[in-house]
Amino acid sequence: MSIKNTLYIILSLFLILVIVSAFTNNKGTSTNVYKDELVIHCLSDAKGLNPFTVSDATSKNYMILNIMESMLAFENESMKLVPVLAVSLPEIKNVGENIEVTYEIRPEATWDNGKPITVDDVLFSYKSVLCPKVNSDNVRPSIDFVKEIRTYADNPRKYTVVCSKNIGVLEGTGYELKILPEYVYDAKHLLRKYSIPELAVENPKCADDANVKEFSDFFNSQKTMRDPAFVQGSGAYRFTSWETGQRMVLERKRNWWGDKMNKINQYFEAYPKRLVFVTVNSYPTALTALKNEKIDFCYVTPVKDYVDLDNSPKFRKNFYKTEPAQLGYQIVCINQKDKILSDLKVRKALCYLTNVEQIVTKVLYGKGVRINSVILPMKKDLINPAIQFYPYDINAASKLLKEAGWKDTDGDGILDKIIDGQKTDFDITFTYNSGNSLREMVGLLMQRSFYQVGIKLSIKAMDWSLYQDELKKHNLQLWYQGWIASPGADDNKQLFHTSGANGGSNYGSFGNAKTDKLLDDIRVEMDDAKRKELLFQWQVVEHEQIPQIYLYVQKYRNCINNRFENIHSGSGVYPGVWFAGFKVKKGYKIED
Amino acid sequence: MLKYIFKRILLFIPTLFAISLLTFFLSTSVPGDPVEQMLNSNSEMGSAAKAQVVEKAYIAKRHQLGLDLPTFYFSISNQATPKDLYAIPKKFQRENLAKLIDKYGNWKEINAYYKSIKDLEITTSNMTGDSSNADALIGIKQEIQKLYIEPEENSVQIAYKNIQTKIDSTTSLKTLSASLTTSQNAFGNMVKNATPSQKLIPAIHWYGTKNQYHQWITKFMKGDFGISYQDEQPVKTVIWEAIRWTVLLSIISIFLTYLIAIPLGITSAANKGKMKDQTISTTLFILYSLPSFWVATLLIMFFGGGDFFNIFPSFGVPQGTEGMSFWHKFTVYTYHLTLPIICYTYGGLAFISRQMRGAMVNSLSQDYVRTARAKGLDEEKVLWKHAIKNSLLPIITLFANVFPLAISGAVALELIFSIPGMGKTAYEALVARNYPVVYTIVMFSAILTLVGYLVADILYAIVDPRISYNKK
Repeated sequence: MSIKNTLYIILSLFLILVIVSAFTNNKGTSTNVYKDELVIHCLSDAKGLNPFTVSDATSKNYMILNIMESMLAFENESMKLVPVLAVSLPEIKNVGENIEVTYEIRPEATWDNGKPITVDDVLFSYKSVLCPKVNSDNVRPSIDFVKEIRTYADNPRKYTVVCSKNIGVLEGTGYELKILPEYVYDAKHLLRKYSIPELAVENPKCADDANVKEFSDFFNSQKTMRDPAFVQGSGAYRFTSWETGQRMVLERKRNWWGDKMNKINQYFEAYPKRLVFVTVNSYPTALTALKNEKIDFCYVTPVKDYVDLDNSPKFRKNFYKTEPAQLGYQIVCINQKDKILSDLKVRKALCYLTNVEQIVTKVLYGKGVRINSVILPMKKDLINPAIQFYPYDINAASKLLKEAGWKDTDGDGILDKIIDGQKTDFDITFTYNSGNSLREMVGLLMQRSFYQVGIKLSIKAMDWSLYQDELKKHNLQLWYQGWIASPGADDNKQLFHTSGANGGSNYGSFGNAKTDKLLDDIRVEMDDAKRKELLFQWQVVEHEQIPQIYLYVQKYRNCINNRFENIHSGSGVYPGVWFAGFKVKKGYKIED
Repeated sequence: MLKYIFKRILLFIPTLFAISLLTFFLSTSVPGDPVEQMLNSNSEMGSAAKAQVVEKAYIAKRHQLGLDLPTFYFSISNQATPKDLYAIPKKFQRENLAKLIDKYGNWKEINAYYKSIKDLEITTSNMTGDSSNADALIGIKQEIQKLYIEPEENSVQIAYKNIQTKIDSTTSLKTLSASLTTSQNAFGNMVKNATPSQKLIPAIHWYGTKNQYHQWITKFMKGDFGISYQDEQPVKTVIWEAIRWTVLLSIISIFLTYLIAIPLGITSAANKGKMKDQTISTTLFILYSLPSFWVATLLIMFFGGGDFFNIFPSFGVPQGTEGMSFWHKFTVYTYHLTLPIICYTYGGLAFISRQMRGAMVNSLSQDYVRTARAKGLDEEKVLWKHAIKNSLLPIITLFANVFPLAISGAVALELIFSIPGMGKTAYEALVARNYPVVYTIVMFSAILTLVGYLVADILYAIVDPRISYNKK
């Protein structure tokens, strides 16, 4: 046989093999029998499953939330805190300079070994976050107001957290801190040798102790990130497998303690036998898999792709969409120290010139809600009704600019003004991080409307790291920014307090003594009515002093397979649904 | 021959050393800060951590990663630059000091100026604000931050003027005057006593082995590639998990490319200028010009079970194949990998078959081919037995590239098909400034490129006995 013929035979064999394997492996979904699982799309792989040492949103919100529990949690629809491991919402007392928060753990709550969850586990969880050598930099700030924890000899399930005054105490002690089993993570009781105050002080003496080192070496290790034996919690699901970059599987526990609780809130509902998280980095690929029912849930970030899904008959037949508003907002920040933008009239003019309705319609295809404050629309009670949106009004903007001394003296179509003895054109730059086309579109729309009054807006894309560097140096003029908000109490000191201008996140250098005081007051005001009053005042500040141009909150763009109901669509938990609650509707065949 | 191979392998050492230096120094001059990336993760949203905590965490992380060490054994700079400038943790302050050194050249005075700003900052932050002075204090603090990053004399003077105005307007801030005057004097001294000539005198600072490069390369040679910054896994694990898929896909697709391209090239050459040749060439050129990410997306959309045909899976690699029979495993792999392999393969066809065609056309015009034909051998034998051997040299040259290709993977394809391979790993590592992973991939690519060329040279000698590496 000649070489040529041999080659032809090999190639034909290959072809036959491909066809055979395609037919033998492609079972399809035509049988209409589904597995008892929920397949969830993730755009990037999780980084790890230690709740205190990871910081990425995928790990925390998609996986850890189903494996580990905290004393309280936010309900998705109402955004209210509800008890999970705690018997009820804690008792809060003002004691002098401190706040004391008293919790009681549910008597039903047990670990996988059947032993009850006790104060020892709680103490261990606090200590592991505070332990000086543990990489818990992302969680520590949310409990760094904790001074001491008092336990009660007569009740091993009751404890009081003593905190300095801070509006975040409930969220920090109740929600942010997951309770971990001491017997799994610290079997040798290494941290029992230290008290909370010993670990919490600025420069703990124990930092170089052998015990601290031994514990943190283990706790920071890969074992607590990806080894099922050392990733354990009291949640309804157990972590069973993880193929890096591919998929992770969480299995429903058979004898989960929460089953005794009669589904009192969403955190006690856990229906799918398995939660399967698959990583697909490209949206076209993920959406093809979605239409083919290989994925049951997908949060589609590219708006156009999301809208276009309605054109697919397969999608329309098998899926539905939900769009709760996101607890995060998008703004165009203004550098308050810039020689052009430091003028309040100019900032106001820019607000009049930003056509937010048009941006929401054209860029977000209507999947957004306009805002005029960092207090977001879903917290209806806290929105100051007296504050109106700046309308899109070119005449009002022109008038303000004229009052501020801007005129086109040289007839080049661009406004100018003498600033510090120099003729300055109204030529400013809008910066966004490169690769983000949505942000670019926002810039382009602003550019067009600014030009109508003689403002030249240049648009600049910048690599993410450079963008961060420039923000910290306060070198940008206008830039696009997105922030996550909390479902709980609003504390915006970090973003607007002048102390945050030097190294913090007040990149626009906003603020003065008065606004600083207001922010400080909001942070420590525990009385709801009084705090509401202060937040109303804050919204007046935002409206009148224009720290930034407020754009919108985006809506989640969730696609869910028709066979699921009871998804708890809401804004409280990322990404706007509660996975464990997904329940198969009647009439669908499910196999084990 | 053995002596030649040995000599070539010895030459690997300086080449790899040069590559390691190049990679290392390129990465240190790239903008962006891996420490920041690790602390903030890659989210586009900001975290709500406090400034001081962040600052402390930054210094600790920088130390943990060894980034607070000097970069190399020595530095060649000038007399004006101090030996330990690298020790200043804040990048922007370090950069500003470097600019001041460049301008004024007198480190002693520059250092005194830098310290005077720090003193002024401390004095200011120790002052307690009340309703009368709080705004002024805030303003002063902001101006001080400007001093830290401003090398231009004019801007510095404006900042001083602004601070002075704020002090003058508030009686309770008068105590700051002394610190301000000291700082102004320090700045004046720095300008007055500028010794720009100092920066023209070269200086070599010796740091010894406690430097970033030494730490990295010695560990690398011992097989310790470090810890990935992204998920803190050992780099070895990260690369091992990724490499198996890339190598598998590369080997199959390289094998298929050669298997298809060589006969096509030969057929083209044998039918030079005829319809068959033209059809093959045109088709291959069309394929060559189609970007693989586009073809990949189309293939998935059409054959991945979306709105069209449900034949292949739309993403991922085979899973849970343990315990399957060989045949079952084989079909599962074929099912999953067919679409990616098509994309990996088709682009290379045109290139290799053109090379083959060119070489073959050349061979077919040689005397020995004419002789073979004259002897009455049938065309099949002339082509596939006599002409082919001498046409393989250019293909061997191309083969040298196979080795690095086999581990580098294709970024776009791996991302589209969600294959956790080397391309995806390298891309994610680059974006996240995950240097340990980047270094290791670059070093291995370099090693394999060198090996590839060596193998190609050896193959030359085997295919063509006229090529010999022994000295005569």
